[in-house]
Amino acid sequence: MRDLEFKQQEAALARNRLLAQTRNWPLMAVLVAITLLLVAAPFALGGYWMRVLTVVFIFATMAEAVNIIAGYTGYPALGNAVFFGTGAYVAAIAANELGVSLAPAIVLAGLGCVTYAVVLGLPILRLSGRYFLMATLGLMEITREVVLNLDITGGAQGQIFPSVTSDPVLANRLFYYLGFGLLLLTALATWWIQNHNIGLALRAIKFDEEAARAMGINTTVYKTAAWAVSAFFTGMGGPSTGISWPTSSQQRSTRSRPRCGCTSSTCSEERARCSVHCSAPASWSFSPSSCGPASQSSTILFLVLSSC
Amino acid sequence: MNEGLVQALVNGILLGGFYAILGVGFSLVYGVMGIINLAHASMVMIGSYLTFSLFSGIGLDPFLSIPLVAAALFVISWLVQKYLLNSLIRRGFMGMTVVSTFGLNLFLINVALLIWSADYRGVVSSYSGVAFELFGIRFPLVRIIILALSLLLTYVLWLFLIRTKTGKAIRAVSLNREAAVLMGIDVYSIYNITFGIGGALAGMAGALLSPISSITPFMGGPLLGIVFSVAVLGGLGNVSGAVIAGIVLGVAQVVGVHFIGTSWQLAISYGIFILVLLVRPQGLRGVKFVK
Repeated sequence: MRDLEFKQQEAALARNRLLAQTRNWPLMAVLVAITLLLVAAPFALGGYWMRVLTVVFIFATMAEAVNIIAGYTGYPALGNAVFFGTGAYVAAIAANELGVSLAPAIVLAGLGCVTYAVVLGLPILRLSGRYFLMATLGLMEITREVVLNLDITGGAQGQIFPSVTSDPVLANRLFYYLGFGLLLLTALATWWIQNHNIGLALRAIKFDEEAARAMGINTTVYKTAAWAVSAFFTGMGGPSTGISWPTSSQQRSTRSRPRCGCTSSTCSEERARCSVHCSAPASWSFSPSSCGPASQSSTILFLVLSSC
Repeated sequence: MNEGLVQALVNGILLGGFYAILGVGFSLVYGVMGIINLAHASMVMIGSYLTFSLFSGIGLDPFLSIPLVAAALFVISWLVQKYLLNSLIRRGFMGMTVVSTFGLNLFLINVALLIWSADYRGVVSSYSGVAFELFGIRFPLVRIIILALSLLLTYVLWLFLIRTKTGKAIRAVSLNREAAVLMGIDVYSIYNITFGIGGALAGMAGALLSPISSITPFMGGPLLGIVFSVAVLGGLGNVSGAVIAGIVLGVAQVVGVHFIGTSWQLAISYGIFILVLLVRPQGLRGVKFVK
């Protein structure tokens, strides 16, 4: 009975908090204005800035996702980029082998990553702090190695996502809204988590896991759930990165991928991989390096910026 | 007994000695300061490149360049600790040290790209093809030298920690920081020296690695897995544990490769690493630090 009362009080408090946030109308107005501006932006901006914004959206999504496990729960998941790559691969393989179209492929990617996170999280999340950090980095490397060696992933050649549309302007817009939608979804999910019991439980785990367990919080379930949610959004970010780079994949692969810029004859394998990138207009290609340092570093950057 | 397997065992032991010196610097830094130095493998890479430059520039033998490379990396690491990490520790941002070593890792990789480009480099000395044969098993000369030097340098480190005043101070800080302060030890200068030693060990490992591996700015990635595995298997901060762990890992890796295939080498070392974390997180020796 007292339990019920407590829960009602909690719920009332949470409602008040929500109301307090919605009543902060200048902030809400600014947020709505920014959202509307970003919705309208594709009609005013050129292809280059749209792509920049698309990448910003995806990186911000990944940062929000890392924040759930590293910020709220206090488990430094430094290797979270593994879900970025895994999601990309799941979507690409689903599209190529099963003929799944874009939207379901992205959802499948998210669900695939949730499965991956739950299966691995149950043992790995038993580790504390820094050991967990090293384990996630190890996990990333193992996954890269496995992806390189499996047949279904295409080894070092990677996967090429079937082209969605041959019109570059349309493709740009599609990926822009995809990234933007994903960011909104992730932000909303984070906001919801923050204002509900689950967020409270996660923060309790961060401050003192033993005490949280003593208070009746099933820490294993909550930790794994936090990592799974984190994996879900990171995983959906993988395929929707629009890493298509439909028109300028050539530039991109030489500019921001130092690995691909190498000219020595010894790295023929790298060049083979790059040529896949470069000669794939209006399609997405994923190679094992898409779970590599580039995406990871941006995650870290945003982790630093947004850690709470 | 299968001759190939015996050869694999020998190769594993020869490799394992090198793994010891690869992991021990990381282990020491973690044991004393609790900093996970994600840039450790990139420091190894810088060490390899310095050896390469000394070799191709003035023709210095890779093994003779060890003191120079170690000194250079000691200075770099000392500066990093003094001006970057210590200021974070002072202000209580212990968790941010890992992020900054991660940034340092990316920085070192890109510096190497700028200076030495992405081309694969190698150090091929006049005796690199020499090998002895005993009962049908090959013992390459370079690898024997690497094993001997690795064990010797690790032993010197151990002596330094046991015998010298600075070594004792380092151990004292790692055991109890507050008590060390009360005994009049300047903790932050000990931190500087420890990180410097960690960097110097990475440099030595890089110099030792240069004759047997191609050198690229990205060689650190796979090495970091071995560094983690050795450090965790040996017990973080444990010097003698790192030697045993290095040899165990070397043998496990080479024998695993013998049965499964070369392309799974990294997965084996990381697999061992995660398995050890789950089953026996205190490492093989099961003690916290050198007694």
